[in-house]
Amino acid sequence: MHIRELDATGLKCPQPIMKLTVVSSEMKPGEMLEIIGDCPTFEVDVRAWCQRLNRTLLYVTEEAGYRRRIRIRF
Amino acid sequence: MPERKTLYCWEYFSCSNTACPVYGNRGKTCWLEDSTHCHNRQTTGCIDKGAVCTTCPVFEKSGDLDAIKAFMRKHYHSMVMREHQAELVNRSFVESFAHIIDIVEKLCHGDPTARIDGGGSNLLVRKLAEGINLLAESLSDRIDETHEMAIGICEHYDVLNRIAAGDMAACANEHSSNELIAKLGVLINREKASLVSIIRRLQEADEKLSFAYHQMRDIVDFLPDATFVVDSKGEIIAWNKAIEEMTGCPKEEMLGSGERSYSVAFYGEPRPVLLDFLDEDISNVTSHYTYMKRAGDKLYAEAHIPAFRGRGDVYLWVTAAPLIDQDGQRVGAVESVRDITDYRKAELDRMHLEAQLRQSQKMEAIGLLAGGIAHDFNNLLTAIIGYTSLLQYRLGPASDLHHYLDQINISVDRASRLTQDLLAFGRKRILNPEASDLNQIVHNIRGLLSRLLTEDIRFEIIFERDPLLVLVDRGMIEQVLMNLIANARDALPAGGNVTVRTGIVDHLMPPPGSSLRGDIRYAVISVTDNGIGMDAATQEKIFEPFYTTKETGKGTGLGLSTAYGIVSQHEGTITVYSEPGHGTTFRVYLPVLELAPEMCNQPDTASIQTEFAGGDECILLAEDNEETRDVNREILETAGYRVITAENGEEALGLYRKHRHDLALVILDVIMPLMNGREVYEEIRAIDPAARCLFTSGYTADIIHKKGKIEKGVDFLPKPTRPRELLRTVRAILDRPDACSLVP
Repeated sequence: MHIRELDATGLKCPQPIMKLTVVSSEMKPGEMLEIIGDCPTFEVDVRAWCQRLNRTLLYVTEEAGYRRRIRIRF
Repeated sequence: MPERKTLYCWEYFSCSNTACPVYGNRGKTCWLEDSTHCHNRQTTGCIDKGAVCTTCPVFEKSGDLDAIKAFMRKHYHSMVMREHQAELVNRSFVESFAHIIDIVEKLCHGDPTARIDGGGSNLLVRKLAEGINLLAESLSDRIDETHEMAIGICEHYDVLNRIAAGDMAACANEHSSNELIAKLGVLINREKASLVSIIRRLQEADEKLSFAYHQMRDIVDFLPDATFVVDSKGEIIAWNKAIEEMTGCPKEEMLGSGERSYSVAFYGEPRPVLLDFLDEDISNVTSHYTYMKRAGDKLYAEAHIPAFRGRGDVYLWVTAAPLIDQDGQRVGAVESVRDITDYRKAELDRMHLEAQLRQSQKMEAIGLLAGGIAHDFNNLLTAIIGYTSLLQYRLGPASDLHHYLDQINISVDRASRLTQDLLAFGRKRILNPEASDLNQIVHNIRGLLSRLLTEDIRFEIIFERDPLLVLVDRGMIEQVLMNLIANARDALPAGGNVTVRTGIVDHLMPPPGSSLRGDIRYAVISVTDNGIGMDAATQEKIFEPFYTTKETGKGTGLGLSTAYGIVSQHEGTITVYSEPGHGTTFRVYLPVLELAPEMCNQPDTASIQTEFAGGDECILLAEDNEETRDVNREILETAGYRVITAENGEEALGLYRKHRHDLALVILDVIMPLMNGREVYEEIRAIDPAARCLFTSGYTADIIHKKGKIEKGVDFLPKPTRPRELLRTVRAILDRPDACSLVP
């Protein structure tokens, strides 16, 4: 299954979730997206975003010790 | 070495500052004391003291080396201590600032949780740390607010996006720490509700509009007239089924097309479309239409499309009108084409029928005239026949004058047949059935039939060997035969053969397709020609009134229908079999009368010199025609009867009432003044139901018959009345045991 990737590295919060919101309008129910970011509040913001916008956060992984990859199901 | 005098600062400078610890004290040396008030300024610490004392004239002039050494030792130690302390302070600054810079960097990277712990002993650094922590707190609050606003915007964006995609179940979050976001959620929900309401109303309106549109489209589609509509740009916006059939152009191809694509051929023939000329001069297109008229803003026209390749003539009625909207603006045009071919044909048929009716009325008028003449003529003939017979009777058989009287009788016979023909022509003959041999009927009129045919037609009659006894009105059957023969003649314009054949059909073999009964036998007369024949369509209509294939004026269209009616009246039928180019056969079926042949009526061949059958009874003779009344009275009296005469109905009824016990028979003329024969008869029957009556008439009318037959119990003798017939009929009625009809 194709998983879309959204690179929000270098963007400061709340820019990643703003970008995620714009991209989410293009996602269809059941599709997957992975967002990558390094902002200190990135994970907290994405978790809050998923909870508030009723999307399913599947998992969070840390990459290279400074950034996180979060998979979301729409 | 000179002794140096001790100097005191308070003396040297004339100081009056009593607060200074050395003032007035000769035991103390001022540069060794702390917190002196030199130059009215308190000096504390070694630096201040050193800077003041080393430039003070009191110190320079004192010359006290021990004191100076003590002074120097004291201040050097102080300076070392000061340097050490300065280094410690400096190190503390560096560490504190490094920590502060680290925290500030974290804050700058967006970590609102970063804080400066402590701040060290330096007041300035602590102040700076406190300030940065306050700033971090404030920044954290701002970041939280920013995140809440951002995520709120994301939420609302998502909801708006779902609503835009048609998900009306999407609902914005109305709860947020950010008032603007919360209110935005409320606003979105309110607007969504409003939108849903608008959409619902629009859907309802759309449904109504859609229903109305489909209804209108169906109406236009199923209009019987071929109809199309164009908009203001000339593009087709409606093209119904009727016009699809008329032009062969499907709606799918026509709708939306422009550039006068509607200028298609109707029934294969192109012509200018009328709506193109709503605003144009129509003089250029009138040649394409048989009729054209402009009425207001509409155009009306009729077109004739000639017959082509098996299709008959077509007539079209075309109407074109502008399409005006509610604001009175012209938004297009509509044209409808009605196929009025049937209407035109019906109009032609009506005109034809009217012509036939006029012809029929003319024939009817002639028939009335002929009947009237025949009536009067019959009375004259009755007198001639009567007196001739009386003369023959009086002269006796030896007289040589009989030859002249015979000639008179021959002429009277011809005149009598002429009146019968006139009556037949006027269809004023009554159906007076009698048992007759069909062979005999045909035989008797064979001459007349042959005279109906032209010389180039070979005529043959083939008779059935056995007599064909039928109960018919001989005159009527003769008329049927004449009509059929005339029809055969017209079917042989270039000559040919006509064969009349009589026969019998056993009840076991009834003719197919007929309404005949299967349990009786039928006598058959067939008339066959080898002429032009008829197709099936003509055969279907051949017995319909007014149907004729002959030219106008050459046929009434009533010949075969009259024949059919007469045969039907005799409870028989008539059939036709024909093939185009081979000829036609008409067959007349009449029920066989199962009686002995000798019972049938024989032709009047007896000599006029036969004795009159007479009697002595009393007879009332009612007759308005004087000649007829006189001759019949004289015939009856000559035969021995007693006769009372009346000139009209009323007189006859009066005389009957007066002499009814003496009267054995009443002879009534049908048409009489004051009271006709039937009225007199009914009055007499009311008085005496057993009264015997005999009707005579030269002009048979509906007065004495119903359905063309004489009523039961009524006897009838047509004029001209022959003496022998009159006397025989009178004697037969008188000899009848009770009052009953001669006719079964």
